[in-house]
Amino acid sequence: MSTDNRPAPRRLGDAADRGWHEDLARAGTVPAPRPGLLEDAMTQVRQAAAAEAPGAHEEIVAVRATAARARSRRRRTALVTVTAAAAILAAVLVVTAPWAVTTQRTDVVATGQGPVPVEQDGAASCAFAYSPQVLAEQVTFAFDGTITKIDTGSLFQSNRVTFEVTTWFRGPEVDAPASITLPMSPAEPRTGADGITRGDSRMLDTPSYTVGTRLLVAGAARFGGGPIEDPVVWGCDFTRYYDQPTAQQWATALD
Amino acid sequence: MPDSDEEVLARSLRRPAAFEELVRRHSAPVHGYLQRRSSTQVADDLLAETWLQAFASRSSYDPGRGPVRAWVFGVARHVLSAAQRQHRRAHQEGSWSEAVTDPAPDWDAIDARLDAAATAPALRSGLAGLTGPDRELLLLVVWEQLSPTEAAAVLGIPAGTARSRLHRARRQLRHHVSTPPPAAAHPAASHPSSRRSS
Repeated sequence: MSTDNRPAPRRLGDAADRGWHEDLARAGTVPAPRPGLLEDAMTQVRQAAAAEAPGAHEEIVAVRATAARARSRRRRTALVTVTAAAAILAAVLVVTAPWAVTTQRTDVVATGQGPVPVEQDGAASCAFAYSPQVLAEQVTFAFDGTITKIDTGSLFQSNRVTFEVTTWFRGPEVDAPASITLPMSPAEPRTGADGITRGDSRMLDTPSYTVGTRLLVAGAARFGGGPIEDPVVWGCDFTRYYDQPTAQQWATALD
Repeated sequence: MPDSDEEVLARSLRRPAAFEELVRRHSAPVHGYLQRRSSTQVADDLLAETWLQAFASRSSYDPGRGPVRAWVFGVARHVLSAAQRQHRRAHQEGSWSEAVTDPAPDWDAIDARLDAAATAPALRSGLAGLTGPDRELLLLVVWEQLSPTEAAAVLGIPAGTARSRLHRARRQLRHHVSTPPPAAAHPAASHPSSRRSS
């Protein structure tokens, strides 16, 4: 509702809401940003971009589809069935044609767990390949913890997994909690009434787990801010079963 | 056709400077969001901080939970909450959880704008009667012009929950506006800024 060029206010409900809605919308009118403010923000981001370690993101692997889209695609089974024959025919033509070329798509990774893998020609790719260096550069929290409780979400929701933390390698600098509850993909696949199977943590290169499982857990704050605010647990081998050598490696890398 | 926000953000993982395009596209609405909940001066101070936080945490962006626009508002909300926490700690007011769940708008400034409206007293009373999360959700939709699904992504709640909360808030406000409070009741007594978030 600032005075810059914005679309018409979103209307709520019917005519009965119009009076209060317009008054409230008017109360949200604020001046447009002063000239130069945008440039200031741009300059600061430009400096941050320039300061980012060269090659810090070189391990990013392009991925071709989002998990969300994959789920959406699965729901369109009927449509896929109709078009499958045409696709197969086209594929045969492409493969057999001597002038066939391959194309590569680059898309954003999408699931609930950070740089997670998506299927790519039967294999999996991750936005970040695990290494202690990437771990140190990218995660905002990491700890060694044992699962004490699992609240199972609905078919479309993550589990809420509670850990008793043995050691924080990275996290809140003060008052780091002794336990933390995090959203995590279900350990086992679940099949809904629609016949579609969802939520297998093994697809995300995250260890299967149950109460008592000890894990080395790594992830990042979804919106920035505090290290464990709106946390996203990273799969792709970042979160892994506990072993002492790796725990030592994390302690060193994240020190 | 310009690249989508999601494509720009993905590109910025390989080429950090690409992120500037998102700053260019969304600074005005984000500044408006910050300004409506603080002041022009504070919004000016927090805009760059919001973008620096967003840049630093861009690898955690999850397209499955909403568009980039909603994610940026979520970052702004966290930056604002942190600033409010800092301010309240310095002034020994309020509590940590209160600031986190309800970045409070500058109600004095909003009251001044509402004063001209016929529904102002009832609207103030109605807003005061909403829970903190319901109020924040409603304001994201009315002021920031986010869809309920986008607002849900900002707040980190399921879209269905956002829709039902929005329906409840709308019904409550409609009721307040159609049946104004008794004349004896002073609006300041139930002012949102004096409430505790639920």
